[in-house]
Amino acid sequence: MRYRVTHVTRYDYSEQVTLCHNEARLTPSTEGRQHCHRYLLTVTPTPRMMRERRDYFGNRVTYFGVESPHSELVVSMVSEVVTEAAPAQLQLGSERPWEQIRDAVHAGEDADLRLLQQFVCDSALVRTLPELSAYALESFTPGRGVMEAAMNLTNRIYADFKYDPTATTISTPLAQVWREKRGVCQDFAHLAIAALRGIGLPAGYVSGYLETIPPEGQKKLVGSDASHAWFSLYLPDVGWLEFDPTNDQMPTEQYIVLARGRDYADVSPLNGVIYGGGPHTMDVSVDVLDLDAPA
Amino acid sequence: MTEAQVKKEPGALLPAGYLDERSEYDELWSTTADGAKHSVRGHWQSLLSAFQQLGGRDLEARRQEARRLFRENGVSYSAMAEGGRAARPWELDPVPFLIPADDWSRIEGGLAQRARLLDAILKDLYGPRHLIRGGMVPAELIFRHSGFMLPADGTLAHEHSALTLYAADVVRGPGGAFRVVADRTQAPAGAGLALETRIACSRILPNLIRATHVHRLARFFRTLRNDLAGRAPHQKIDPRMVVLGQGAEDPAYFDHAYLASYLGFPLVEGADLTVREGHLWLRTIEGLKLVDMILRRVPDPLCDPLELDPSSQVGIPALLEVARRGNVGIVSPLGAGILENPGLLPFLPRIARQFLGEDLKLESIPTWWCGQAESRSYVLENLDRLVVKSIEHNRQAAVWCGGLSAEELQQWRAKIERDPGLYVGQEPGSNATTPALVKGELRPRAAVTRCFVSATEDHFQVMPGGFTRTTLPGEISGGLSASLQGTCKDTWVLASDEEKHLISWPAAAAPSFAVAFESLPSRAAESLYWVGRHAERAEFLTRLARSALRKFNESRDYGDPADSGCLSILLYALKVLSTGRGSTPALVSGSEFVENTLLETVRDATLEGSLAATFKSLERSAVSVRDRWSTDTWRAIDDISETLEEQRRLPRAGLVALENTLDRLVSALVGLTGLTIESTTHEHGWQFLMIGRRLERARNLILLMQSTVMREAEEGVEHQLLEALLIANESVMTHRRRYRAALDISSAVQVLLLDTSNPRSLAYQVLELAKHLDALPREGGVRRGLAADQRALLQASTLVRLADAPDLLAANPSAPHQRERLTAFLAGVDSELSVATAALDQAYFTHVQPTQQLVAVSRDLNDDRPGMD
Repeated sequence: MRYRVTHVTRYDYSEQVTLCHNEARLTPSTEGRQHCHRYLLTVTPTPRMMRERRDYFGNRVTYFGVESPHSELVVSMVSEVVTEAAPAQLQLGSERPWEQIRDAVHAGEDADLRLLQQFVCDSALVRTLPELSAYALESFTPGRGVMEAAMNLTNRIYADFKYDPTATTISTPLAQVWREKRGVCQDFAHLAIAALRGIGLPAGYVSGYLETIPPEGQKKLVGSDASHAWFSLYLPDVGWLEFDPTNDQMPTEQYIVLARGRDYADVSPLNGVIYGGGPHTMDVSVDVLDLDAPA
Repeated sequence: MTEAQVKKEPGALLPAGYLDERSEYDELWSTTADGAKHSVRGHWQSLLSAFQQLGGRDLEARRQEARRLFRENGVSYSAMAEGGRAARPWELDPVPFLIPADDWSRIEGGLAQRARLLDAILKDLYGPRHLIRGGMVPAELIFRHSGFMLPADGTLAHEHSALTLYAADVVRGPGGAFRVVADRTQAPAGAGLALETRIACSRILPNLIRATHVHRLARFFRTLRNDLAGRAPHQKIDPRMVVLGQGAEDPAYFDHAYLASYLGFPLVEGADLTVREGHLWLRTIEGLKLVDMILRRVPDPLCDPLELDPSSQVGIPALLEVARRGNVGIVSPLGAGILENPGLLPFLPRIARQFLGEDLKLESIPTWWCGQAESRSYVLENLDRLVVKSIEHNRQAAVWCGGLSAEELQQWRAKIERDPGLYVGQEPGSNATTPALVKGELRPRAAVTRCFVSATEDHFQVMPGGFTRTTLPGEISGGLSASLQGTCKDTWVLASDEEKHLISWPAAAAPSFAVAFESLPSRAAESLYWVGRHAERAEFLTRLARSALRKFNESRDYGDPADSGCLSILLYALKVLSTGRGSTPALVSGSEFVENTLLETVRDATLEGSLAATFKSLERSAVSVRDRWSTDTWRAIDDISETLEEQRRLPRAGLVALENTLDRLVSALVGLTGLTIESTTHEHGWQFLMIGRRLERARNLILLMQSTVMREAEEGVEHQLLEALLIANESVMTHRRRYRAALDISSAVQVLLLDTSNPRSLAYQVLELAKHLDALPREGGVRRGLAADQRALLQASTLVRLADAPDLLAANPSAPHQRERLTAFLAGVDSELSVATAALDQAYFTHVQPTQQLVAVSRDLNDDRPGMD
């Protein structure tokens, strides 16, 4: 598929901002099953300084500083990404009993596996909880193939939790999501990651976009798409496999990866510190356009 | 000296019980292998004799002297109490901690090696991570530790990013060898304290320290300064370096200020610095100045709210980005906190062999990280004789499990089993004891010494000395940071025979406080300005209160009604000047009212504008530019607060004592002013001090006149009042010389307001103020013409120069008793001064805007469950 993703964030300040420093993780990378062949990050007012680098996880991150007084800030990213479907044939190794993965990572048999242990450790927003580990073990029964078990966990989160944007905020602890059985994609990804880490499996957070297909006969509304999030599980010799518990499936070619990390804190699309500004409002719009769709 | 010799003396400094209390290894006594014979170690003998000659009482007296020195200097490692006074000062034990030359050379070599090793580890962890890839260090130990900061990854590649200053807490183990308890790599405190301790010690034991051939500390700091300069990016020849602190509320503020002034770097806070154009800048009164090097006293996560802890209020947003670009050197580099992880200790010997090809010269205290199965079972099996620590040293205090009940032990076991990677077990070690002065006797106490290493690529140096703290009996040696107060000792590193002639001891000199720095930071300018204002205000109030008090005494003694008329006006003026408001002057009713008003104005610190409150503000402003004042200045401030404190403790009926107090305060405040003004070089800082002073005096004079002589009083009252005003303004002599005895409103106005040669007059303040303002740096130079504050002062100067006393006092026939022209004149000058004050504030002071985090995102929402509709 060929997509054009437009992600615009706009801040309106009640008082002037004299200086701001920001970090944007809004640029998709060329990786796995996607190719980002062009992109443009535009900031208004024009930053004095702007520089792109790769962060620890390989994500593209852009620092920019606006050094003249301003009362609104618009950060807009337009990127074009070509995606491929995941291979239909599952790779060798994904049927291994899950305990083998756990043990291999724990033993740190090679350099890669040692570095991967980072994805078993607690991270800023994901702490393991005994009840989540127990929840995982219901899917990861002894000797079960890792792929099958992970898909089963995905199915169960989808079935057991209700999608409810009003139930949680960015700072809602996992224990509460677990108790109340509701949340959004970010909560479900965090929940699955905590469950997997709790049983010794390396799990990561993936942020990105998902093309929404309008109900038949209706035209897709610009801005109706949103950022999305799902989780990934590492299999030695195979790599990262991804699962979307919010939609009960493995990502298809309609999924575009934006950034990867241990949890949301590593991939937050826009961070900033402003001097002044007072109370302010923010508006985000995301549009994923299928470039090959008939107009 | 033998055991028998020591014991013989009655009432001896060294009691026989010492031997029973000491641990396996004692710094003072050596014991033969069979435990039968004891003798005083060679390097202690002459010093011990000297101490015995002095005797316990004399040593206690010297401890008192040290206590006074410390208090005056504000030496504290604990939170500043209200008004910036040290709440719990360190206590100096006059008996030093001795390190013999051969032990020292092992420590020195060991720490130099350790500094190199830790630097190599740091660069690896934030670079290629061979240690993790190769399995030399368990990944979990690094990845789960809060000190490992992913944003710092890759930022240590610049050559100036290195562990330039590092501290290690060392203790002597039971076998006599020194071992490292903890490594401190982020912003180790104590270097300033070590210096201060040495200065105090050389004051109280001047001859002994010289006779003992102790290594001096000054060279370490000189070299450190050069080492830091050498680390500046872009090979700058004359880099601008600052010490980054956390403000006067930081428990270690004294240490930072002392270090800063000793190194000659300005002490700044996060808000003084700003990132622009990818560089770091200092806000000064001359605009933004590039900063090349930061010696930070702020822990890693708080340094940059953009990439690190977003809640930090003391950091500099985007500092890490500047470091990443290689435009600022930070000592220690951000991310260095990972090296403080005690879980690394057991892996150091292997890493040393791998990275340096050397064996570790200085052992760490035996430590087991529970994240590894074997170590874990060792710790669990031996729990009751180990110390347990979290790998995050500031998250949980170390616990000695030997002191726990069976139930508590079980809880700890469960805790460790639940999350083994979070804990280490450490041997408590029966640490060596050293003689400490306890109630006039020497008693054995355990001690921990913080040593400092500064290193560059081609050399290293270890401070020959350090900061030694004696631990309480039964306390586990968690290192210095475990407890931020207590008793400290000077650390005497003894010269070897060959080195003895190299150590010269000039008379103990306090460090030079000259801040070799061209641009005055805006915040410092503001603080100095306020020091000037508060000091002047305190003096003005004191003099006025004294005048009122004397008038009160006279009115009691002579019963002249004019006295009480004058007194009520003076009390009214005092109220107006202190609190800014006062009820109209009514006749004074009873001495109790007078007494209450006076006492309240002088000593009630809760009353805004009172003398006590003004003085607290003065202290606060002075503390925030701590690095600019000499020891003498602090002594003067200390004297004043002592005097006020004494007065506060007196019973209410104490007007006699009050007069005494006010006399002392006037002298002390004049002394303080003299010190601040005379010992500050006439650079911009001095200008701000003087501007504050002149402005305050001018406005107080105006207020005083407005609240006293705006309308004509009865002749008898007026005469007395004018006399009191002249006295309160130290202008009686001037008046007498000019007018002999003829005192009237016209001559008083001339002397107090218009006489340009009377340093207490309004005209003098205004003209001086104009000169100080002209001396300030101006944006765009002189070509830009006069600035707003200069224009206002030109107006005010013109007003005072053109004014003429008879003219100002010419009566308006419709309101013969009102002095309308004088009133208008004072209001006119006052309004120009207000304009100047506001313009000055706008042009030179910080105006740091509050920063806030941009809350990044609305939530990631995606309600696109296929098939849901």
